[in-house]
Amino acid sequence: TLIMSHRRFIKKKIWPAIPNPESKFQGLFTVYGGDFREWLGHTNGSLWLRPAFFSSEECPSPLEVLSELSLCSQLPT
Amino acid sequence: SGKRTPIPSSPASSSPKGLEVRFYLADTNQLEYFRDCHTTEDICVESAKRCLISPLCHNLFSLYDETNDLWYPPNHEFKITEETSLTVHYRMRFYFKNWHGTNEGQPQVWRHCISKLRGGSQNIPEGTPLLDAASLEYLFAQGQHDFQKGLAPLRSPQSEVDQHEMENECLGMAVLAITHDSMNRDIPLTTTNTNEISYKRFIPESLNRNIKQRNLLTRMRISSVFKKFLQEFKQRTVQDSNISLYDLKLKYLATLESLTWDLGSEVLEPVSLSISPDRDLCNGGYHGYYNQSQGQSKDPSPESSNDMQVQVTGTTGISWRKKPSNDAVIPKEKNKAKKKFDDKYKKEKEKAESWVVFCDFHEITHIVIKDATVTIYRQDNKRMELQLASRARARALSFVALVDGYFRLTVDAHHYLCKDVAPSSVARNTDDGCHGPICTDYAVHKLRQEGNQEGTYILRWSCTEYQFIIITVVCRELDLRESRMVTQYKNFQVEVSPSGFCLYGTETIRPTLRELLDHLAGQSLRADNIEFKLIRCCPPQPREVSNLLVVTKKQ
Repeated sequence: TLIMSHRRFIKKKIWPAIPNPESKFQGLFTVYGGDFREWLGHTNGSLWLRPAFFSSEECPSPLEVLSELSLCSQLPT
Repeated sequence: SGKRTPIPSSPASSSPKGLEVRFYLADTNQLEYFRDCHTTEDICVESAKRCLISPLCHNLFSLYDETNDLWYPPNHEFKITEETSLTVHYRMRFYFKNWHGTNEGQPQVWRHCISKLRGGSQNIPEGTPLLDAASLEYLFAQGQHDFQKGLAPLRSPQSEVDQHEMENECLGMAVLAITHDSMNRDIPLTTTNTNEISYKRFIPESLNRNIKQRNLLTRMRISSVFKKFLQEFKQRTVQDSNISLYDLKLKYLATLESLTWDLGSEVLEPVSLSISPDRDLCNGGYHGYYNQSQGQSKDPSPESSNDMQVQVTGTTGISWRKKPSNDAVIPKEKNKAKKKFDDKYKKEKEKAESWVVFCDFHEITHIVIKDATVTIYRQDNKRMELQLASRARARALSFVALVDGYFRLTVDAHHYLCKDVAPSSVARNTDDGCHGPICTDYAVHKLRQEGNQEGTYILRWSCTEYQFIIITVVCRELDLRESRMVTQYKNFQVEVSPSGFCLYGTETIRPTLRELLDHLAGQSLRADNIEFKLIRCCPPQPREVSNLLVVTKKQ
């Protein structure tokens, strides 16, 4: 076992595991053929907000011009 | 995009003259002030306009002093003289975890939506999204900055395997950022381009330093594996499958949340912390803490002790804990010690994470700042008292402004908890009986609730423009076809400018909103063919529900 662990140690030194972004996109190419949105929807729960749903600003309400009907006699003195 | 603040045009960028407000958006120039007095709130409005952030989302942002790790309260006055040399950052301060709704198991976050009030059917969404497009854009730029510069520190890895996973994730973040960057700048996605781009600028500086210490062979492998993947990603996802900038941003920010330990939370370390009147009451299971800990032995006992931490987050409110004794880092120990370490670490971590909730924002009645002491009062008369030391006053204001801001976002959009930090706009709106940027749906809903009498009206700031106030009035009109009176809601616009409050489409202008309305109330008014009077104003009520409020829990 000593030799085995020694070999593992050497291997780890020369050929250590390296970080690879691929593991964070599992299934993106193989299962979803690169369709990011499809992949997201399936990896992140059902609720993936749609861009259209995102513009929470309402359209300005139609505006009306207000005119004053008042005549001089109606004004408080 | 958004890697860094724009490079100031002046060469003396280290000590700018006046006040400089920096943005994380790459193509947005800083704001500069050289004279006069300006409040944080006014500067934030100017900043929001520059970044196209809507009035609805503008209250998520504030001004941050990176050097002292301090936020300016909204009513802070910057008195700018010739000696002034100050740089602040415009940042999203108020953050609600899982606003994107993609982290399962966490409560979702919405803006209140009218269909919920009406008791709408099940398939209607519970609310509308928290952020507008420009806020999302800004948050993405800020998130990248924080990730790369270490302002959003990565969570501690739980094991060697976890650490490796986190490194993978960091490189994944780089793939998302690089792709977003090149799509945003419309750089053709050619092979040569990919070869020039390195992950180095797009991962946390700490990780980059760590990778630099590995041997040349390893670094070359990392680099080539990264490029190979980026190439495939660009080809198959971007070119063949039409990925959107929006999806990239959301994935990036959702991942950032899981990769860091405290995104959107602020932690304060007071010199002492006490909860009174009674500690036993505090542990009385009110928030379920007692049940978990099964007794008092594990209880950090906050009654006037030091070494405490107080945390504020949008979704959990105010909590406290004993400061964890050692920041758990993975030690370079031998394998046999490893399992033991992992177990110990796990326990440490559980203990460390056991924040005790003091209160939700709903439970706070008011906050008092006196000298270096902040006291938060709860509805049941319990209070939390924090003693602050360094820069006590500024830190107290920064902290209270945070709680007060969350209070307005989750409990009551139109009131404040502490006068010392209250934005002047809130006080002004209260005086005028004017609502914040509530949407038409809520205005109409409120008028109905108030009885729908002819001449009843609501004042509210526009959801989309900063300089408009809208008057929504109940009118009655004869429907000729049905020959009966029908109710209508008419919207009129008031433009706010330095010269006064001007009624849209008329010459009528008055120095204050109050004076304008007093004037109009004395008139008979006409719009289209309807005649009416302004009779009764409906001001905001305490804790009134509207689209200004964020719902953070399943109710």
